[in-house]
Amino acid sequence: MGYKLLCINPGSTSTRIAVFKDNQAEFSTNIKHTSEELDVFGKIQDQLDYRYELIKKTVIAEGFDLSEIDAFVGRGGALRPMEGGVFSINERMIEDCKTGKYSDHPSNLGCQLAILFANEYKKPSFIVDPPLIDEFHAVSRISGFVPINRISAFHALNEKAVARFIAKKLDKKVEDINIVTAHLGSGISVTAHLKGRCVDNTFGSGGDGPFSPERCGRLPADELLNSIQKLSEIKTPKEWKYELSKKSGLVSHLGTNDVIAIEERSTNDMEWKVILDSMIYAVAKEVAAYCTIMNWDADAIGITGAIANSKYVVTELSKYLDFIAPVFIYPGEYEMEALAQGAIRALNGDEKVKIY
Amino acid sequence: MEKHINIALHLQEDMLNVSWLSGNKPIMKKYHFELNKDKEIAFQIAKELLVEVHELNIKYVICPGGIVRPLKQGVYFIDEDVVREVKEHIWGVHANNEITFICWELARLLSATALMCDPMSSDGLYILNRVTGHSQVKKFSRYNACGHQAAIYYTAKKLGKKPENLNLIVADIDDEVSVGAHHFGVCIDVNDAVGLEGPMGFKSSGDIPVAQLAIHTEKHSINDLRYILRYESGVKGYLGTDDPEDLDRLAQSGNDYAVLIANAVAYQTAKWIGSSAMCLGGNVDLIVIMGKGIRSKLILNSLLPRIQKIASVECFEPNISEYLLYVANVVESAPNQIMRIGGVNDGL
Repeated sequence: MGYKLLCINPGSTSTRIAVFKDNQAEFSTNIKHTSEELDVFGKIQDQLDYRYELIKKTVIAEGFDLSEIDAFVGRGGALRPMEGGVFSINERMIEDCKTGKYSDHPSNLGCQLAILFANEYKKPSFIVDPPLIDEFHAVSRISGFVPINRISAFHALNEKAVARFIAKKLDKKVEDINIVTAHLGSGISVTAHLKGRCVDNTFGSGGDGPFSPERCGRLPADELLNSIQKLSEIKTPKEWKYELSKKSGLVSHLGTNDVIAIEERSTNDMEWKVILDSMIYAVAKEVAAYCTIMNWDADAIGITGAIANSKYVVTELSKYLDFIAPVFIYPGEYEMEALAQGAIRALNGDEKVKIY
Repeated sequence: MEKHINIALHLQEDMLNVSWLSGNKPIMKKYHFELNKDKEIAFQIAKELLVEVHELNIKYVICPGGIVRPLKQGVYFIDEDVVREVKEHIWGVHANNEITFICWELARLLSATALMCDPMSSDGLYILNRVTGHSQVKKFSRYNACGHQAAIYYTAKKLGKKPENLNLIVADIDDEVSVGAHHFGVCIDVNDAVGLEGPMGFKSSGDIPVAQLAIHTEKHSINDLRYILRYESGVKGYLGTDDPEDLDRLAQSGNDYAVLIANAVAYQTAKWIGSSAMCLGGNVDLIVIMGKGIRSKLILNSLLPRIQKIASVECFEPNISEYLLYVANVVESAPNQIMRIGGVNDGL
């Protein structure tokens, strides 16, 4: 006996879906939406029925019987910042997502799609670790400047999943151990999992932590203000915000965010090698920094995200960090697995389902 | 042989300490320090010194160096090039720039030679610590280098070793905070405390989420922001005081916010100490905590548990006057060790 689950993960230009039989994906695909298709709809919210029909058609075409699905699981949406976990889908949640109360994010369709299927097939529906989860302790919110708070923003679903994978490998519960994870994508986040709670993470989109392929990460604040005064080509504060979150990091130094291409060129170009190595080094420094949050008592370090596919990057990181704790590599993303496993824990009664 | 002495100058919490040895006995006089009064202060010190030490010649006047071009740590002549860079704040703003000028002026009045020790722009950064997340934003090594070196001098002496044989982390928790990874005597990684990178201090913000900061330039003029972040942020920004004893008193009187802010200083400093440990490959002989922050029990109680598993920790305030007089004594017997910053250099 096992559970069959349909997992739905809406992105801005695609909808990822997967059918799981327990932990095993029986089918997984990424349905692409062209901009012509999406342009017909004014708002994200107006895409609901379109995506619903598309998912239904795709799953049925693969030969699945939707009435055999035991639960429908969605990603998101952008809900009130709160502790993570598995949530049942209710009216308040739907309302906040419909109106885009906390953010106008495509994952707002996640819970709505899941409950549409659930209502039609009379089965339960859940969401797991929505994007804006916030488990910060008070001290993590303090920055050195009173009007600016540090904010929880990270690859919640994936980093939490990776922490669980590691706990399982160590034959421990995630609630009993301390882990630092680094998600390496176009943005990079480093997260402290203190007994399962994500008490701190680098506020990548706000300009903190290591620099990444596109983001600036931490910068000396006065030097930045100095550059804002001096550089005339970037004019408004909004343009600077865009510059710092999309055109910084590797892009600002090398003109590309393609780590694999940079890695290839850096074998015979010292300048490129120094930039790439500096990013890796900055990640290692940040992971070490986050180990002090758990009193230098980390049980494991997890490296994940698309860049973790680079052998070079993960080998270097492991060399830097394995004196602190064993380093586990989970290349890519595990969002679909995370959704399925969250639902299974809920159905098995291993985890209490939360009410939004 | 002609009898002579050396004079050390250094700034400690708004007081300019002037010290020398009378025989083996250290003498110290304190002067109130104010910005933009450098010539007056130098003249007053010279006048009183000539009365105090009238039978002795003064050979060197030495101070911690201000911010000049990036250079290796050590002892430098304060010459025209140095004076120009500290007077015009070409490489950064700090009160030690004025102390450097006072040192030069005082030496002139006393017919002595002016030296600076371990300028704040001492730079031994490892190449991978030089790259920032934006090609237009520079990373500098600007910190309380002389304070760090004094801490290392006393630590090495106590351990019976040479600094060249030790891996140390030094964290100076003061108006601004600097955390340095000292690898066999070279500071291979340190936050740019002057450029507002690093943990928040008693007055300085350290680094803050900078994309958010960029948005703030909508509401505030950039010059105002630069001033507020340097002098009116950190502990002072939250609690209105930059005094460690005040901080503890506030907490004791039931102000939970003071506890939180003390924790934040410790928490952010601990993170940088963790980074430094990585830079040293985990081989850390000792962590030294210094600066006025060590007078706050709250800060220390929050900081120590976070870092004690990295290495043993010692908290002490190095005697900067004594260190400077020691350094003057060393270069007196080996004057070829004294360097010049050399030539005109207006920055990158």
